[in-house]
Amino acid sequence: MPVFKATLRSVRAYITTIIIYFVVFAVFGTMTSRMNAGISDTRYQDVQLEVAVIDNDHSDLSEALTNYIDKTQKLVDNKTEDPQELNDNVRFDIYDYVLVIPEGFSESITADNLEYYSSSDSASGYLMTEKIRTYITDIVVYLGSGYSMDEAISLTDAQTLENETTDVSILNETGTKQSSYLSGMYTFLAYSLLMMLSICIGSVLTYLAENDIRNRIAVSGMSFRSRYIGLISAVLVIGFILTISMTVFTVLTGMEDPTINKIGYYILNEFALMFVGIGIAYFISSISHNTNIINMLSNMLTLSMAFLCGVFVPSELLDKTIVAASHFMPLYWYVQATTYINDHALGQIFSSDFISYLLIQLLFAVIFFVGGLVISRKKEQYAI
Amino acid sequence: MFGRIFIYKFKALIRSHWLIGWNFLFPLVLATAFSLGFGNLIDDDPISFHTMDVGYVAEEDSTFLTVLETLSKSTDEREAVINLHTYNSEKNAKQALADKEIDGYYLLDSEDIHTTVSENGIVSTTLLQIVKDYKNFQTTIKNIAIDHPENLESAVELMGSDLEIIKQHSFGHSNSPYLQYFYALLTMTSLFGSWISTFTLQGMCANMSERGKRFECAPGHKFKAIAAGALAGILIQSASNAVLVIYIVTVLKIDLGLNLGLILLITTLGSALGITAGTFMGALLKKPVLLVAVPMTYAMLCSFFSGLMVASIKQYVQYYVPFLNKINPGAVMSDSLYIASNYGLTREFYQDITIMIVIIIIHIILSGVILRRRNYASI
Repeated sequence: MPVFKATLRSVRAYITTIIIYFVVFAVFGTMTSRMNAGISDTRYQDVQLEVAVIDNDHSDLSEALTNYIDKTQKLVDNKTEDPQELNDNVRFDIYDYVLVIPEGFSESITADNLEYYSSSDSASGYLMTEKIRTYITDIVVYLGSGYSMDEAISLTDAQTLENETTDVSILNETGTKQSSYLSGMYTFLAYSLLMMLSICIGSVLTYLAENDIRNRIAVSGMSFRSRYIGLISAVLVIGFILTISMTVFTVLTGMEDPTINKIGYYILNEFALMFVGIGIAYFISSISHNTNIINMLSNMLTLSMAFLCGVFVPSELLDKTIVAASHFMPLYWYVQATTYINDHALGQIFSSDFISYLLIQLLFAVIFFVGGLVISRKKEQYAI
Repeated sequence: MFGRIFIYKFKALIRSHWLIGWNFLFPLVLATAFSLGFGNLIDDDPISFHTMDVGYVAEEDSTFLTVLETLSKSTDEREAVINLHTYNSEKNAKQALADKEIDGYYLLDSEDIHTTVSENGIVSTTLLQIVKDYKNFQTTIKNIAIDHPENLESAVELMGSDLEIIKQHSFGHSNSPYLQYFYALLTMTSLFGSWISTFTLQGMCANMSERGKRFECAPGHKFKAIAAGALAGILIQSASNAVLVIYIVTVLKIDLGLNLGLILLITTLGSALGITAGTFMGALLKKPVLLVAVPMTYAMLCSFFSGLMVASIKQYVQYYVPFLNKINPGAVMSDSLYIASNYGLTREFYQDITIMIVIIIIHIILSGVILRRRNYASI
């Protein structure tokens, strides 16, 4: 019990670190998860692009074009008319497309006056340009065939609406799997949880491994068994508290997520990661007893893994060789399990695939622990 | 005195292994991770338009097939929109779709054109748009044939012509948005300089260390000593940035879109920013434990908001709270690299550089005010 209490008390020295990483998770995790959250659907749906329209013409035609975009896409506030900022907004996905309708456009429609901004040669840019080109071409053809502007707009709007109901189906109704808020939070959580565990537990283990403290514990009347039971229990309690606190925050902010019924599986996966975090902490603390170096190694290991295993950048965007290499990192399996939970219905999650993801993570935890043990033994052997 | 303190501080800093590890090794490891992770995306952006593989199933030829054949030809301006595969049965087309050989297929029967895709997305929407455009063309011709049959021929001709309606706003050259990660990495490395300063100040403040007590008792000029320490820090931090830039450009073969001299100039200014920020923190903070936690939080927070973990975050801040981007040293520095790389040395670039210089001056003044004639009631 004294070792258990001492270990828990020594964590207080790292309360600032815990708060920092928790705030990073709470703020940035929520932000990025909300930004990327979507709802999976098995029916076909046209992609709705976020389009900003700057109408400097204010004519019937420009308003009709804006209405058409509003009906078929998601019209957003451009907030700026600065060309450079508009370009940056489409490059960094604030919106997908900007259409600038110049003054006098309705009087010279075919003078190549309409201007758009999209991310270089993006597919969304091509699609939106084609939609606008089709709409305006119809107007031009109707006007050239003897219709008035009002008639041309009316006919074009009517046929555009009619053609929206074109027959389409999705193969095997696999649909589209989008990342839910919970999935996004639990993916980002991997970085924060591993950082907190490896720095806090790594530093505490280092502190307890200091010669003076270790010798004082060693000469006490406690048996080897009770000492280590106390230490392991304390480490597990720290791990549980940190893990549960992150889950509580995620649940509180994700109550409205339609996939909240899957939370049990997310928690199960998170606890598997907790053991990986403890394993990494033990491994790093065996390498160095300097808290600054522990901090640095934790950052190097966790940040690199987070980038290579799909925590910050989705795995499907990464190079195939890198994805293959990331199979040798525990975070890859954690992210795989999170994606698996997101992509499957509640009743289908508990499967051999999901269990294997958890077991592989636990295996990595054991590997880190054994690695740490070997380094510690060697250090003791050679009195490093 | 200045020279001697400069040399000793320089020696002390380069002999501090953890500090060298953080400022030299850590950025190199992260740069490697970035390059391995999404170096491929810099050359081939996943959102770029690519020719779509499309299947076509029909028993006889139709005008729709003619449209598809036209779209499958590349032009001087653009690559082919589709790569057409014809199938003699829907079963074969479905199998090809399941095997991911095609992105979707069209089935033409006597009633309609049926489109089948593998999933929702931009490719599927574009495939459907082709059908919508075709049907739209038919409806337009039908309407004109009913209301103004005398103009039908000219209408068909007009629809077939390549009308000049819309053009893309061009800035000339533009780099991949994924380079933002590397700009943010350079920013993070520069701001890590704040650790160097807090480490340096530990040995100069009486309330921080035994060395600090001896230092403050000595009849030396304090400002000169701190300036010498800061200069040693800037030198080391600039060297760290230079190593990182050279590593990215020559070893990782990533073109940052800027000439080496300009990058080094910006990163050196960034180093001065990090060092002076650290001096200010060192002057302000009293607890030794905070001298590591606060600079680290500062560097990581500023770097996150400049796009270290999510490249688009700086632009989101610019969209919703643009003022934050003007006071975040990380965002200002990465913005200067981004603007110089994409738009050249514009007014915004010089504005960023000016803000960096102003922040440096504010840090120096505030540090001077706090450290000047500091008294200790009890140490």
